[in-house]
Amino acid sequence: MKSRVSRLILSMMPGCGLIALGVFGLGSPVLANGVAEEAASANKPYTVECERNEEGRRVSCTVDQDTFVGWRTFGGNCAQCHGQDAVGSSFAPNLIRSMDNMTEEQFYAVLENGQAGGQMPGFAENPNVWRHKERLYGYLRARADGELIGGRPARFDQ
Amino acid sequence: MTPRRLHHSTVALTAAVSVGAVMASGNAFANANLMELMADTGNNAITGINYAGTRYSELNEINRNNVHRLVPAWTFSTGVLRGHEGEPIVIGDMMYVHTPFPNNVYAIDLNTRQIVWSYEPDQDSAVIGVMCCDTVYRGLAYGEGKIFLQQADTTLVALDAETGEKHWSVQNGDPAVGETNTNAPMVAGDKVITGISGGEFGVRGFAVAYYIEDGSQAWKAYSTGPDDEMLVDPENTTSMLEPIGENTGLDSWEGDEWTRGGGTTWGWFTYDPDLNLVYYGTGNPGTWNPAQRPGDNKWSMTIMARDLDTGVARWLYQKTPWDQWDYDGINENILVDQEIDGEMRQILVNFDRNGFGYTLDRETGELLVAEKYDETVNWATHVDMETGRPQVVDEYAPGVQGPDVNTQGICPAALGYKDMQPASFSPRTGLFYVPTNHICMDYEPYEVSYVAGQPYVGATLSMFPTPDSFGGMGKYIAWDATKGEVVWEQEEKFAVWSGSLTTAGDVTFHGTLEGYIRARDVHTGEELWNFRTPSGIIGNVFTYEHDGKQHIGILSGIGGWAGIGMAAGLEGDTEGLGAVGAFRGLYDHTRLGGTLTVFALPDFD
Repeated sequence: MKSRVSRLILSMMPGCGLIALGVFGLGSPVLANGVAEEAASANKPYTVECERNEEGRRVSCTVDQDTFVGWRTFGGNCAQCHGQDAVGSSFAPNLIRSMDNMTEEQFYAVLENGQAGGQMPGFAENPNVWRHKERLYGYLRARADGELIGGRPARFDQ
Repeated sequence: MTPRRLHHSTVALTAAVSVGAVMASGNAFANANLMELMADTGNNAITGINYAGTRYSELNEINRNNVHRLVPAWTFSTGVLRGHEGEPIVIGDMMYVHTPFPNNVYAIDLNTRQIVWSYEPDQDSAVIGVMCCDTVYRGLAYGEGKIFLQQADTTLVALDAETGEKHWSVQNGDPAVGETNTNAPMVAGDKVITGISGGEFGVRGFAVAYYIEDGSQAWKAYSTGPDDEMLVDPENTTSMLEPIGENTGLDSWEGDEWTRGGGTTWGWFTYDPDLNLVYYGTGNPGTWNPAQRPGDNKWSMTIMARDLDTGVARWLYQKTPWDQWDYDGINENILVDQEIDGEMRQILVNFDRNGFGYTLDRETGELLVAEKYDETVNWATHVDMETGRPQVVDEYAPGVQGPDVNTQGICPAALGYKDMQPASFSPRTGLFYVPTNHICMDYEPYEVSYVAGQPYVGATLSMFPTPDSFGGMGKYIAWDATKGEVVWEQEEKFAVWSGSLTTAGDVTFHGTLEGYIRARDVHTGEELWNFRTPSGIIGNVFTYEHDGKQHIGILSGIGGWAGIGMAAGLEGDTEGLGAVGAFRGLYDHTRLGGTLTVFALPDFD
């Protein structure tokens, strides 16, 4: 897993800048955003490599162990509502899209406490989920960033 | 909660008189009263039309030759967006419409189409968070002048059929540990029978009977555990015609896994008044990681036949011992009499999630037929007719392959080749009409910890249309249960997640996830008519007669587990395995929203 610091910087991406600034008071918005973008590209909370076919379409992806566990955690606990590969269902939103509307801290807050008037339960008491929360975040970020295609990813050799 | 009267007293009075007239035969025995109402072919007095669950109507005004002229007669918006399963019940001039959570009930006068009363329960929305696969609800029950509502939060409510006033309510479970309800209760004798949901939360399933009169509990029978709590008799309860012996619900589990052993009971109930037996199925055992629960996991995945008076099981049949696929065995058990090998038999027919169509003697539980209703089933080669056990193919058995192994290409998927969408039966053709799925999966189990009220799954799945087939995800088939053979099949683009209706007009109906209601010829399956309703259909087609005219009705409203395909995807989603793209196609056809649409033949050309 990446360090806590790099994850916080990641949350200062455009659109989330004001929240991040309020917490950390880093310089000017322009500088902060510039730093964030650079840091994000260097410190993604996942590693993904995909193979492409002759037409250039990605046909399979390989991920680090943490992202793999994130995928598995999602499948066992979240996919029932948020759909296979996090694409949403008739009763819960597409997380690939909504990940871009929240910071990493907001993501953990929703995961901890639930939301939507109780329709989504909190998972803080669930060891199958909570101990993997950062791995889950990494998996969903990889999906939201468009870096990881649907389906079961392969794992890099450990 | 006090019911709201939405209209002035004369409307309520008119309706009260009409319902009263229907019930004038006396209420000494609810069984007799309800059976009389069921015998009136104009009613839909019980979900499934009759105790046998045949979903066969004697009404024949609408037939093969004129069904193409059906037009909408009236519609009703339920005001709820979630998946709409089940069907309304109709008694005399009154129709009782249920909705998904928040489980509203609308009593509609068919003469005026006014809402005579409504009941809108005040439920804690936290229950939604512990409902697997959407907040569906499959219907109401009627008995002794009462309408029975089984709320998601496990409250069972008895409402006055005339006024909507609450007679009593009883708490059937605890949402804090993941117990919820989605099933339609069933009235039989002086009791109302209901089940429990929560198979993905490690609950311990049961069926329970309450007295219609006051809601006091008559019996409660667990699906797992000690004999006295399961209401089984080691010497007289049989399976495959042999006594089951002592403590089978304990000894077929390791440790105390039976206490979170699933076997939930969220499907349909049927009843044979002559044998006085109630039939239902039990769901998947506990966690989806089979390595954590070695053993047969009795009596999950089981067809149960219980005495209505005592709850004690007469016989049991476990379809999928040691489940490794989530082939949740709750599908309906349809009761008919048919000739097998030259002998009239009282049979029970079940189309299981696991892809096998079972025919059993419903008095003794003798297994008569067990054949695949979709030839692409690959997790088992066949069912051994001596032992009743499926012959599992290791290559497609995640429990055999072990945790952290991705077992690929298993058919059917966890959705089953058929889920809860009920089939129908025509005594005129002797065939069953079965709405089915055509979806396979990869399944990867892993170690999981149990915490009360939290998902207890321990597997991740990828689902996709059955490979090397026609590319669609559903079929509507005709089945001969005496031989175990498909007679005809019609392909559908999406899973057929809608309950079937067949009529004496030799027409069989079903809905589709795109939102079409279709009428087909019972002999060939040829489509005779369709109509595009406002949303995808996961409800059951039903029929009734009013003012001398036959009506066909359907609840539309996409959702349920089928709604998992309603994904609003990003660019690039169709890359990779192709599964997501296939499911996503549904989004090109339909959106959410619950509507009742009722059809009839036009009064004039």
